[in-house]
Amino acid sequence: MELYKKLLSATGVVLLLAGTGLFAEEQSPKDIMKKAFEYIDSMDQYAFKAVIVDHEPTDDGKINKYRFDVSVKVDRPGKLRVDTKGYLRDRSNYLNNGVYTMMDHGFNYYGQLKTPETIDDALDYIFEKYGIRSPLAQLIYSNMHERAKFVTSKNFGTMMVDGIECDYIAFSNYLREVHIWVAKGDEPLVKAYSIIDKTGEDDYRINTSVTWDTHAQISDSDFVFRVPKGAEKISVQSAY
Amino acid sequence: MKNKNRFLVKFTVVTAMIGLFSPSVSMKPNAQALNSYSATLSQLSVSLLNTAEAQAQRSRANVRTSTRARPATRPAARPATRPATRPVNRNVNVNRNVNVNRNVNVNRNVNVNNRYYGGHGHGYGHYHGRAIVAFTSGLIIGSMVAASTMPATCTTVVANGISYRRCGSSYYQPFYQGDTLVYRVVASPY
Repeated sequence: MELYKKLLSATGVVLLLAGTGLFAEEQSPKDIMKKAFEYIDSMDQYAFKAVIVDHEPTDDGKINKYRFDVSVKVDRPGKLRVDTKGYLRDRSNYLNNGVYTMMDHGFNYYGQLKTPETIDDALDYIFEKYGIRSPLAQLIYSNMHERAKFVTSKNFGTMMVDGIECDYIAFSNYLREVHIWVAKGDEPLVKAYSIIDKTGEDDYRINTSVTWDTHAQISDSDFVFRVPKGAEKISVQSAY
Repeated sequence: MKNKNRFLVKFTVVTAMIGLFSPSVSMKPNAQALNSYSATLSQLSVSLLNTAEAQAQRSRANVRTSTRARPATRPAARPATRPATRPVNRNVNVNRNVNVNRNVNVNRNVNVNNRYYGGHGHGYGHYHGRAIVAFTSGLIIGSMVAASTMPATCTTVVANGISYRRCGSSYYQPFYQGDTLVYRVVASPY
């Protein structure tokens, strides 16, 4: 066989194999997650709304669902506002350059703490010192890709979420599974995720769907806590 | 010319055979791989997006004792009657080339604290080892009461700059235990 024929044959084989997907490059789940969290880190200002549904199995085999509607505004490095409405909760959380405030509108109480100034450090501080968990912290931390530690990961391919093509990836460790849907394309935003508790015999889970506003109109006044009329300040004690 | 035509025929046949026997032709969901994760695609896609069905179910609040903390009597193993394999939606497009990193980031001291993954703590919980209970009359001083169970008929009083709720002849001082609003039964501030 002449040389050009051999080259032509080899080229044909390569093209066919490439078409079959054998040579197609597949992103690892860790890479997809890293890109998603790095994208969050790249934004100085952003806002999103999320619907969180806690699925709690009962002893009689039913599942109780508790819905929370959460609105988040972030202005790095030191301003955060989280408003949560839902089951037994109507709360606003403010972080404004070193002061963290929880305001319970239904009870008209609020509590305040002095914290480090940056969002990351403040969220670490209130958790480590007081046991306070900020809702949706995983979409607020700037370095979440370094914090998330899992033993196994999977890429389930693509899936449509709210009409947007997403990478569907999952991670697992001995405590929980996290399933994440990340939008494909130039804006790899987390569209939804599901956290499944593996410590019980049932599948206690929290599902979250997210609607992003990466060009939100955010002003300094969004992060300023103004004491509502009649509201009373109460103490904040550690949960530990 | 004749040789060239023969070559083109051979080339076409060979490439067609390669295409026919290519591994990607037989794509189908790998149920075994999916089931190594506890949730299936069908379960997640349905439950995740169908959020409208969630209900507040406030009426259940008074019968719940502790939600976040799992009961100690819960069996360690899943029931024997649980099906070995879970239902899988076979119409879902699943990528068979599953990436499993079994030896990555094995650090069992990380993320055991629900810092990023916890829910909203709608249960009563505990305070320094003491159970937070639903409101009832006759609680001893120092008892912790879940804020969600405090009767609306109680009144707010302020003594020495501190706010209390008074229910009958008992006084309750509100405070945040972490991110949970609770009341402590206290002696009369007057």
